[in-house]
Formats: sequence, C-alpha cells, structure tokens
Amino acid sequence: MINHSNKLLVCLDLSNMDTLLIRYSAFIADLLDMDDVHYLHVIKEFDVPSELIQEFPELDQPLDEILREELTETITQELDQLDSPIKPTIHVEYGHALETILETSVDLKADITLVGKKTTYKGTGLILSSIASFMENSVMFVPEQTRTSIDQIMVPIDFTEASLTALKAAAQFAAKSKAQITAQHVFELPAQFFPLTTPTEELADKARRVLRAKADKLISQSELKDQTIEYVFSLSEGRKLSEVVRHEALQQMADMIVLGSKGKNPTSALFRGTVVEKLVQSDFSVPLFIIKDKKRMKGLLNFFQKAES
Amino acid sequence: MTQHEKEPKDDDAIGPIRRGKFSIQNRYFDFHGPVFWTSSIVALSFIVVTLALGSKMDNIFSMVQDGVSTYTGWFFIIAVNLFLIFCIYLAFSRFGEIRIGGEKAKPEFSNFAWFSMLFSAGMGIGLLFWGVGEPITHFINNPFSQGQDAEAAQMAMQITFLHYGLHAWSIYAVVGLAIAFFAFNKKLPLSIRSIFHPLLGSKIHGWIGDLIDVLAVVSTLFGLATTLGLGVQQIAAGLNHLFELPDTTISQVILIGLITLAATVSVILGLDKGVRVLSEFNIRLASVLLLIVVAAGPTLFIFDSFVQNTGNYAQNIIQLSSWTEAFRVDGAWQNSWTVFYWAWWIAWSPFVGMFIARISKGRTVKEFVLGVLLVPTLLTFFWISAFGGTALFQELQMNSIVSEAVQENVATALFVMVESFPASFFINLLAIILVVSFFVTSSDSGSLVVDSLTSGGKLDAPVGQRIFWAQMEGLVAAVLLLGGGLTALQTASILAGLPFAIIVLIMCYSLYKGLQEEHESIQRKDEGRQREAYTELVRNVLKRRSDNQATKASAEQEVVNESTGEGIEKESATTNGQTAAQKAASRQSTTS
Repeated sequence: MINHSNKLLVCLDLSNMDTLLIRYSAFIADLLDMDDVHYLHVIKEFDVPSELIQEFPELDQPLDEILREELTETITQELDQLDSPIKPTIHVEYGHALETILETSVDLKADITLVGKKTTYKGTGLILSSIASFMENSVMFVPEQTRTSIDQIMVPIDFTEASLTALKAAAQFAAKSKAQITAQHVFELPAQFFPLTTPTEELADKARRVLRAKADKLISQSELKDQTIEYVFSLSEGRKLSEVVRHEALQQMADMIVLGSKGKNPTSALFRGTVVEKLVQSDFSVPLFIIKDKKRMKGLLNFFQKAES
Repeated sequence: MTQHEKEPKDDDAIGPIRRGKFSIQNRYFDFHGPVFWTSSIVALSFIVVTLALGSKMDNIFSMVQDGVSTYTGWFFIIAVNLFLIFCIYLAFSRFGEIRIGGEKAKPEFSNFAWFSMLFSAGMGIGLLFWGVGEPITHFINNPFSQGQDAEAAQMAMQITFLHYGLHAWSIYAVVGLAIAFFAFNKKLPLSIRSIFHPLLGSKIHGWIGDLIDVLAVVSTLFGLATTLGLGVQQIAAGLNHLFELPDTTISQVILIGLITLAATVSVILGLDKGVRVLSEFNIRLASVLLLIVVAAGPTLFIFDSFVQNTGNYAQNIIQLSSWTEAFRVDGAWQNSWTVFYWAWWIAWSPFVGMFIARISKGRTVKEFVLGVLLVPTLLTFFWISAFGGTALFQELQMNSIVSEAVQENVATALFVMVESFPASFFINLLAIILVVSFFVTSSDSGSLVVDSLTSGGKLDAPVGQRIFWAQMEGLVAAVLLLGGGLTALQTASILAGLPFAIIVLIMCYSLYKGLQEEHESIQRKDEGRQREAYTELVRNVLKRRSDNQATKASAEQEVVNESTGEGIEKESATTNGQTAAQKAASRQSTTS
C-alpha cells in the first residue's frame, strides 16, 4: 500500500514546471484517492539578493509572504480548472533545498514526494539523485513532457520483497487507471565451457521458462494473484542494468516506472543509487516512482545522523 | 603561494610580456631584450667556439654526449613515462571536459585537417630520415636479439615504434596542452613562461620567466638544428645517389645555405601563408610517397606486419619503455638511441607544442590528449611499417643491400631501398623534394616560434626578426655538421633536452594546478547561473504582484471615484475585485 498518511508532497520552484506538477499532483491524488496535498517551495536564502526586494518598494510584505500568495493563486487556479477536490496546503520555507525537502517530507510523513525533472536543465542531476538516495519516504520524479494519463506501468523486479512492494504499488495505480502492468526482469546467462555449449537463444529460452515459473510462484503467494501482469525477461548482454531498463521503458512507451527500494543495510541501499541515478538523468523522460520500505530506510537515516555527530 | 596565484590581476594576466632592458621595437625588429640577447649570445658563442676549435670539437661532442646520456639516461626514461601517465590521467579525469579556449570555443579545423597538421608537425624529417634507416640498424644490431632473422626484424620494429610512439607524442601533448590552455583559457601571452603562472604568479615577467624562455629558445634552436642537419645529410646522400654529386661536409653546408635561402624567401613571401601552403604540400607529397611504397613494396607484408607490430608494441610497452640497460656490461646502446630520441623530442617540444597549441583551440582536454596521442602514433606506425617493413622484407629475402648501405651511411637507407622499385629514379627524386620541403617548412615555422618567444609572446612580430632566426637555425645546423656530423647533432639535442625535461616536469604540475583552478571556476559559474535563473524567477513573481497591486489600487480608486454613495454598486464592485488569493482562502486552504 502506498497510502499511509494520505499525504502528498509536491516540490515547486516557481518555474514553468510548476503548472505541470500541480496538474500531475491532482492526477495522482485522484488515482490514489488522496486529498491532503502539500505544496512546498524553498527560498534559497543566499540566492536572492536584498537589492531585488528593494526594487519593488510598493510590496511591503516579506518575501515568503509574497511568494506564498503567488503560489496560492497559481495552485488554486489550476485546481479550479481541473475541478479537483484537493485541499492544498502551501509551505514556503527559507533554507537549503535538499535538506528542507527531506525534512518536510519526514515531518509530514508524506506518502509520495513529487519532484519535477527538467530535461533542459543540466545542473539538477546531482540534487535529484541525492533526493532519491536520502529520502526516507517514497519519491516520484516527473519529467517535463509527462502526460496526465497512465496506460503502461513498468516494474523492474528481482524477486525480492522490494519487488513485491513495487508491484503492489503499481497495482494500486492501475486499479483506477486500468493501466497494464509489465514486470521486467533482467538476467544474465551463466558462463559456458566447452564442450558443454548450447546456443545462446536456446539457453535464454530455458532461463525465461525458469524465471516465469519463479515469477508465477512469487505472485501466486501474494495478494496480487488476481492482477494481470505481463512479464518481460531481458537478457542483459553485457549492458548495464539501467540501460536495459531504460531501453525497455522506451520500447513499451511506459508512462511510469515503479522501482522498489531494496537493501538490508544502509550501504547497499546507497549502491542501488547508481541505477536510480541513470533513470533520473535529464535525458530520460519517463516518470519514475521509487517506493521505499520505511522500516529499512530508518536505518539509513540513523546511520547518517550518527556519522554527522 | 602568492596572492597572484589566486587572483591574477588584469594587467598581470593579459597582454604581451613587459619589455625588459635592451628591448628594441622598430620596423624590422621588435624583441624582448633579455630573452633575445641571451639566446642570441648563447647560440653565437656556440658557433664561434665550434668554428675556433675545429675538429677537436668532435671529441668534445662525443665526450659530452656520453657523459650526459650515461648519467642522466634513467632520468629521461622516467620523465617520458611520467608524461605519458600524466596525459592519460588528464584525459580521463574530471579535467577531460574542460574546453581549450573556453566553454563556447569551436574547433577551427576539421578533424582531418587537424590530424594531418599534427602528424606533419611532429616528425616530418625524422620519419623520412629514420623510417628505413632505424629498423634496419636495429635489425643488424640490437641489445635484445642475436643474428639477423625474423626475431631480430620484429625486435627492430618494436624498438622503432617505441621511439616514435605514444611516449614521443605524450611529450608534445603535455607541452602543447599547457601552452594552449594558458594562452587561450587564461589569456596569457603565447610563450613557455606563461605556463608557470600558477606557480610563479607575476614573477613570470621577471628573470625566472626570461630564463625559461631562453631555455625554450635554445632548446628549439638546437632541436631544429638537429632536424635540419639530419635533413641535409639525407638530401646530400640522395643527390649523391642519384646524380653522383659529392656528399661531403662542405657540400652539406652549401646545401644548408641554399635551403635556408629558400626558407628565407618563404618567410618574406607570406607569414602564415608560407607555412600553411608548404604543410599541405608536404602532406600530399608524403601521402603519394607512402602510397607508392605500399603499392610497389610487399603490400600484404606491410599490412600484416603493421597489425602484428602494433600488437607487439602494445604488449611490451611497459617493459620496453622502462628498460635502462641496467644489467648490460657494456651498456652504451641506449645512449645514442632511446635517450637521444627522448632528448630530441623534448628539445623539439616547445616548437611542436606551440604549433599544436595554435591549431587546437576549441577541443576538449580529452579530445586533445587522445587526438594527439593516438592518431599520429597509428599513422606513424603505418609509415614505419611501410618503409621499414619493405626494407626488412628485402633483408629477410637475403637481399642485404639496404643493411650494407646503412652500415656505410644511414642517410642513404631510403634511396637504396627504393632501388628495387620500378621508376626508382623518380621516386627518389620525390623523396628528396619531400625532405627539402620538410626542411623549408621546419625552418620557416621554427623561426616563427622562436620569433614569438623572443618578442614576448607576439604572433605578428616583424619579418626582419624571423629572417634573422631562420639564418641562425641554418648557421647552427651548419656549424654542428662542421664540428662533428651526426654525433654533434645528437649531442646538441641531448644538451638542450636535459634542462628542458626538468622544465616540462614542472610544467605538468603547473598545468595540473591551472586546470584545477579552471575546473573550480567552471563549477562556480554553473552555480552562479542557477542562482541567476532563480533570482530571475523571483523577480518575475515580484514584478507581477507589484503590477497586480497597482492595477488593483487604481481599480479601487476608480470605484471610489465613481460610487457616489450607491451602496449596491460598491458591493458588486468589491465582489468582482475579489482576488484569486481570497478565492483560495475560500478553498479552506491553510498556510504554514
């Protein structure tokens, strides 16, 4: 289940992206039957020169008040147009973007944090992958060209608990949107030695049959047994895992990728970041939803707090 | 370090080097006194001493060469390996993405033009002179194998590849990149001293800077003289071979005189035009010669051996390049080969580096390093496989005329090898023309570089000065030939290469520091850009709200003016004037 607190957090940055994010937040809230949506803007304290405010002497409110009013107007306008039942809450905070987003998400216990991803903007890559790694709660990256509809959901799986969580989340999205769920597993063939050589295709087919059985077993034992799930078993052929996932997502014209966060200890949860890093890179335009297992991520945050102190 | 290092002041960083005492600036001369006079005096006194001592100089040369290369051979070997490691590090480090000439610079030349210029700048005469001679010499005698068989032939090729391969080009890559980076990214004068700005700050304009430039000038002068000397030996040998003209030191000196005259004409005719037209001509002629050799020689063997030799080289590069003859009892082989080559390339490097720097604006560090290291190396390997391979093929067929000729006079190697081809007379003539043309190009462009160094980093110093340096190069080459032939030429390179090798090592560190600063400043700029973009967004919001407020105020004013106590009208006006913010409040929004 995605919904725990029924809260959605949306990060806005005053750019053109905001409109899309507001519309997409309404769309997601509708799919998951949420109505408590929080919109956050972080004023980068040191980035706004005081001269700028002096340029407009007629505005006698403090900057955060002005921006809050502005955001309120924009959000209301968009939500009115969509006839959305959302009750928006607007937060405008001073501080460091990454830290403030992480803190707010924790404070609210947000089920999903929506973050925009600009394809034309080179600089954001680092902060996005940091959000992906350090966020305690589930997070969704929404690229600039995203449509507000879901027909195809792709879930990369590796038969772990996390994969199951991801599939369940996908099923929740699919319930209302009637989207097709495709589970993808990437596999490699074992090394072969002469004279025990079988043609690669034959071997791959065999592997696919085994994997299919494994997948069926996993699903049949879970509450997903009535869900229709398609399977894709991709042979990695030496490509990086992230490459294979990207390729398949584009091939299927997926509208969302759902990725389960895995790892038993803090460090391995970080390593998974390399796949995520590729998927949040600016040139990839499929929304990415990373669903986190809250119990496990607690460990990670504690680890960092200890490291800092 | 000093304050200057962190924040170069404008007057300190931009513009030509400040003039020292004794500087002259008029129609014919425009030079930086300390550098010009010191290097001229060094060159002239060398010429005078050699002429005065005559044949005694021969012994002195071999003594000096022996001494220097025996005691510092290991230093050259390690230095050159360090250059190669440093280059590879730069290409694949975070500095690889830095662009020469700033973020927005575009390459001036197409890849093809760039590669051909790199190739012709780096080796030219060396390849013509040694392309046949060197593999054959190693075939006859090298410290790794006995006898003249297939194994010796392979070894001969490996050694030759080592001398013309990645290590040689890494020297040019370091010097070229350093010059280009400090000239185009840091806007310092185009000279060697500018490279030391991160270490010395504005002291580069003082005596240390002068000393560095003097070393560069002397190094270029002697490196060039070696090349010119080799070239003229080959021309004389060729003319002797074809027309039976006498091949003596005197005739060689006369040839130097004549060709220097031709170079002078090229200098007078046009500045960049002369060098550029000649370079293109060289490349075309060299390609024709290469094609003829590939077609008329053992074609299949050439391709086969190119592949195998390159593989052998790749396999053995570490062992070969770190071999120092340590366990050989009478170890003197390396002095006149590997050590001589490293010294020669290092002595040559201010000249080639300057040239490569000028044609490489707009390339990234990674492109530059990989381009300079790989492409010319592979081309050179193919050239040697064609020329040396053909000669080795003849040797392995038990036809030993080339090796006999090499033992007698290495300069004739190419001409004797071509003997077995059809129309050999014309091919040889072509080769002689190519050597002459390379000679003129080197002399002309060499004086361009020396000129730029002695004028304080100018690109367009007067012609008179370039003529002076063209004459000087010819003179040094001639005097070296008079004073001891090939040994003297090699000694000159080793002597000039030694101090410059130290300079290039320090240069690596300085370049590293410079690139580090550049990388930091690029990152800062990126952050600045993001900050600006955000400020702009906030400004737009503020402006919109300020405009809204103004409109609202004036609307309210109007309402007040128009309403003359009619309550109903006023009320409806207020309802219409309800802002979106108030609407939002009616959505029960909460704010934190």
